[in-house]
Amino acid sequence: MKIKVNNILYEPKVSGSMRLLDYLRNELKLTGTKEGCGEGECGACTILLNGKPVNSCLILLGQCDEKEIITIEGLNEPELTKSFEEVGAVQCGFCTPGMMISSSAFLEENPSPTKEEVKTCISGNLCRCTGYKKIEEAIMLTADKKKLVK
Amino acid sequence: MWYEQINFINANKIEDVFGNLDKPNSMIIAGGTDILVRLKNHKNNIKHFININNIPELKQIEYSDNKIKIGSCVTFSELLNKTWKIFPPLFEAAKTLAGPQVRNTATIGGNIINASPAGDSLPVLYAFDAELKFQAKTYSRIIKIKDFIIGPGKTLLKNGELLTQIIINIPKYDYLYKKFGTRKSLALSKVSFCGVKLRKTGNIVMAFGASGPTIIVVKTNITDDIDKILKIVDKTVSPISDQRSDADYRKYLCVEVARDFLENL
Amino acid sequence: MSQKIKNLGKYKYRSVGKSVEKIDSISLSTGKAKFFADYIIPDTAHVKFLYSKHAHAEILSIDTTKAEKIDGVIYILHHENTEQIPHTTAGQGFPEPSPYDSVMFDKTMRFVGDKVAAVLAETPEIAEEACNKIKVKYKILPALFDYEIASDKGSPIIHCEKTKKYPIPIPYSPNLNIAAEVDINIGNLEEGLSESDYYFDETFYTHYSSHAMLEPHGVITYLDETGRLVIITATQVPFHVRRICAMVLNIPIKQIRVIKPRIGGGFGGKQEVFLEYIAALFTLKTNRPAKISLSRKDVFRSSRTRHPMRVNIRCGVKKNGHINAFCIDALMNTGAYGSHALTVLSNAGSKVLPLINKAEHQRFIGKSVYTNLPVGGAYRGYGATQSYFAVGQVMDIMARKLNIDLIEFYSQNNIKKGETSPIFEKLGEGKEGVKMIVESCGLEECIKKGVEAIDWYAKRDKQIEKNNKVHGVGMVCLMQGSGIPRIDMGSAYIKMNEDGSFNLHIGATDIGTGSDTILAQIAAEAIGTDIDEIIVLSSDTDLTPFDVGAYASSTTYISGQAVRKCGLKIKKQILEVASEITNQNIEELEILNKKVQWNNGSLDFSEICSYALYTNNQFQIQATASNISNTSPPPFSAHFAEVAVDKETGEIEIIKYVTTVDCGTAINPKLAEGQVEGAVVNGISWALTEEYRFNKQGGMINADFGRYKIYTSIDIPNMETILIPTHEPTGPYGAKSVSEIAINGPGPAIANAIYDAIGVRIHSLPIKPEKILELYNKKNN
Repeated sequence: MKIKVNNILYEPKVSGSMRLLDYLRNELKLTGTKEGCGEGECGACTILLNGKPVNSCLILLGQCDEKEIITIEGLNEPELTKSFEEVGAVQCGFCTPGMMISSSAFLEENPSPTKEEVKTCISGNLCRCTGYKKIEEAIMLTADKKKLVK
Repeated sequence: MWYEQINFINANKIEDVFGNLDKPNSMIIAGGTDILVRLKNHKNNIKHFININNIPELKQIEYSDNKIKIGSCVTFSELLNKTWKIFPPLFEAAKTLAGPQVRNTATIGGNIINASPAGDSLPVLYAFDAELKFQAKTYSRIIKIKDFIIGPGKTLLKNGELLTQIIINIPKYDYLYKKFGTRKSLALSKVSFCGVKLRKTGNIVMAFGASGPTIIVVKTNITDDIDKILKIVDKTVSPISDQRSDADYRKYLCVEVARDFLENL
Repeated sequence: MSQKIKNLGKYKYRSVGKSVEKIDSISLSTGKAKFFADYIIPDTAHVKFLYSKHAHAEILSIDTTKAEKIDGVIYILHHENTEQIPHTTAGQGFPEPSPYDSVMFDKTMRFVGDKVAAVLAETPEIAEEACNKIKVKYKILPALFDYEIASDKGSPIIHCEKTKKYPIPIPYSPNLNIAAEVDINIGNLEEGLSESDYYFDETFYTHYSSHAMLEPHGVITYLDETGRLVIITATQVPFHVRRICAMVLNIPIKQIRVIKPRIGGGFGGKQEVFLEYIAALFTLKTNRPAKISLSRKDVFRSSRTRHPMRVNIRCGVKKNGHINAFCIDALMNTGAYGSHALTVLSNAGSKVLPLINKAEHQRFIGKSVYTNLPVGGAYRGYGATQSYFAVGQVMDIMARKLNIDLIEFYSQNNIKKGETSPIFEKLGEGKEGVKMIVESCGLEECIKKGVEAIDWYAKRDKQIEKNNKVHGVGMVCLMQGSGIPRIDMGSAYIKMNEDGSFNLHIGATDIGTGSDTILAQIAAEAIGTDIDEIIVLSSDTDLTPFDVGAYASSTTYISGQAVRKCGLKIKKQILEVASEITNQNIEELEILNKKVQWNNGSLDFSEICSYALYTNNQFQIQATASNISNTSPPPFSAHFAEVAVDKETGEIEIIKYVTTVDCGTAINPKLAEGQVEGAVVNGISWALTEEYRFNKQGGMINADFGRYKIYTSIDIPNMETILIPTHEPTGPYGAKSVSEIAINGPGPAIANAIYDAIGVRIHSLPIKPEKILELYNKKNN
């Protein structure tokens, strides 16, 4: 098995049937990826698998063979992070890494999103603190900022 | 998770699958979104996972002569990207399945093999009388989805078989797809519905999800009396009362969505 | 005091009232901030629980032989090898106003999810496997599921043991399944009712719900190099954890250090202390670090919930719209244990009745009863939520009967600035309350702004129909409190560093609310520096002073005032040192922009602190301050909902939701808005889609996020939040609380809007389409 995590190549010696989430958190000590339900319902464990957001609690390590993974530690999205901070989109912050991953992948594909599209992009990420409003605002704000830069 | 003990095998071509399916207690895994939740809560004696996600031919969508062939490992995200023009009913069903992360991994084949009466793609596949292509080491066969699924979680899948393709004939049609859930995203359906009218014959097929042990199908024709059809719907659907919704309300929804569909044809 | 600062008028504050960025935002959104589960302690062993499958049963025997033989099993705890020390898991101040009816592991199982045993093993999987290998023989006892018959003759008694009692002198009748009782009288209710022109008698039901904070509960315990017990735990109440663990483990408080890491939400659920002592006992027995990390299913089944409540209201009103008699009779299901059984119940009266303070005759009757169902606990809104579902609708019913607009009816009966309510004094938390006058009240303005935002008069009573959907609007007025008067205490410690920065150490517990940030703002304001110069350390029982923790809407108001007092002491010391350096009279000095200034000169904070530490009469500029309050000023709020009801399917859509809130001075408006929006969405989700479903054995059948449906991003309606500034003279810089109040509104506001649309009155939650449809069809047939 060979997998790339945050641009570093690993050859895991553990079982291919280990959950990717457990590999990231326990073996690589990348604890930014959170476990909120373990059943693919909350999105706190979202990572990028070949650029697409997936729940790392429902992916086995073996399914990631020869693939590229980006976790929150490797995301490097300063505009998004700053926007979340500016609008007050972070409360407890447990859902936030997952939200960042989902919205980052989404903005990559949809640089000028509508509000409805933004809602859909985080519809697999539960949040109990914010009521989502400020998270949506943060994603919209990031899109606006990125457009300005271009 | 306990299932770390299971031996994980990556199949890169279809032949790899058959080589390993012979092993006792082996299980095919595609997206894994259903299987892993089930295994988490119910430990069993599976010894080998065979991952079929890397087999290129299972990830193809072909479209020609009003026929669409979908590889069993096509994910719901891919369906969203590729069917919105050529087959809108499936596009709409795919849209309602779970959240983006699950759509990025869950496969149409998994949705079929899982055989949940609430499976989001199933009413569409039933309404269009989809065919399923299976391959085994020594043979292949094609069976209609309505004959393949026999109960909740129960199918006529034989040992050593792999679902490779879903084949749907698409004549000229009008349709309605609708899903009632408790909330909009990540929702299991209370009732899902796909109604289709074939323009040439006026024949109508209505498929109801989460309304019986499998998808319930009611067939009729445009010339039939609507009230009569609705009575048949009322008699045919047999939803259960579970945590999602009460049986009577589900039955009512089935009749009303059918009425909505028929009256607007 | 400096003339210049006073003259700044509206902008007199430098840090307070500004939406400064949350200080932990970046560390959280980059995944660097550590939650309990992110601490990697070498050699950690893992705990799993065996939960009772029976709602009511006695353990006849427990055999762990097979489980112990599994390779990797380290230790097993159950009722036969642990001490039976009665306590409450409620996580309140001492002595707690909750019955001591729990022990670590009991011989009697009282709900599906009660703890039979716990296993410590090398891996979670081994621990789980060992749990399944424990053989338990039960004697099944008859179970009680219907809380309305809990005290009837023949109902199974759930707590029989003589050892169970309150640590405070209040009535307790477990022989009747009664966990708490309250009866408060003002005037003469029956007389009042007979004098009124219209009489109403309505009963409402609210249901179970889960806090559903995204981070499941958990804890890590280990022994430090001196042998002291360290507890890193996802808690709202670190100091109570320390005290309760010391009691249940029978070890001195000085042996324990509790550290609060980042917390992934609490909403009251993490006030409960029910895991820490178990991990700690494993650590004490085995000298191994122990980790408990609940699964989501465990959280649903075995942690705490919102208490279901039946609220009956009898009230009378005069033709002129004056409510003269009002009685709330609340029956609360506390589940298998009486956590918060008395105080959540009391708040169904104390946070609600004062709003309609003009009624001469008032009564609050409350009873909390045990059942064999999941345990209730603290939950944002804390009893007021349940009660407002009833009261908010009864206000609508009365106004409609009188043919008075609901807005006017509220304005006529609502409490106003300068007024009081006898309830404040009569109904407290486990004892009498505190007399107080409302010194700030923006409710009229809240109503006015809300009416405009929802366009009330264009939509009310209009039944506008679009695409088979009928639109309606509804509203409700609310109040809550700010801390528990004369009970809640917060404290702060500040020291100055020679670069002009300050360490702020607070016991106050940031569980995601942003309290670290707003307390830093208050410190910066009091001292006269910038928030960037404040280094916050919160909630470590070894390093920070005491605080009751994050509950009862107390942190901004109670702990905030402690920080302000402490900051002012620091400011005084800074001026004294500056005076010594400059030979200027203190009166001539003032602090501005991190400098001490006088007529023709200035000194940087860094110069002042360097002088104090190194130059002459050396000392540390430092101070501590504590704060309690003699009052609990209510924040006020008005909620407005516009809904569209589908007459064919019963489905409802919230078209717009407007919340207006008077929280005094919003220390950080953006964070205050965030509190409101989160609470509103939780309230909507509770009212419409969340539901505990039980099987016949009393087990929850939908214990996962797939089937227990909290709102997702695409379910969210168009929401508008409007903060109405007032100035609360007793609060830090005019602040009151904001965190809880907004969860109380959605239930009644939406129910009133549905009535406005289709004339159907909703008496029970959740408001499901099937229920609306059934009621609508009944009404039309």
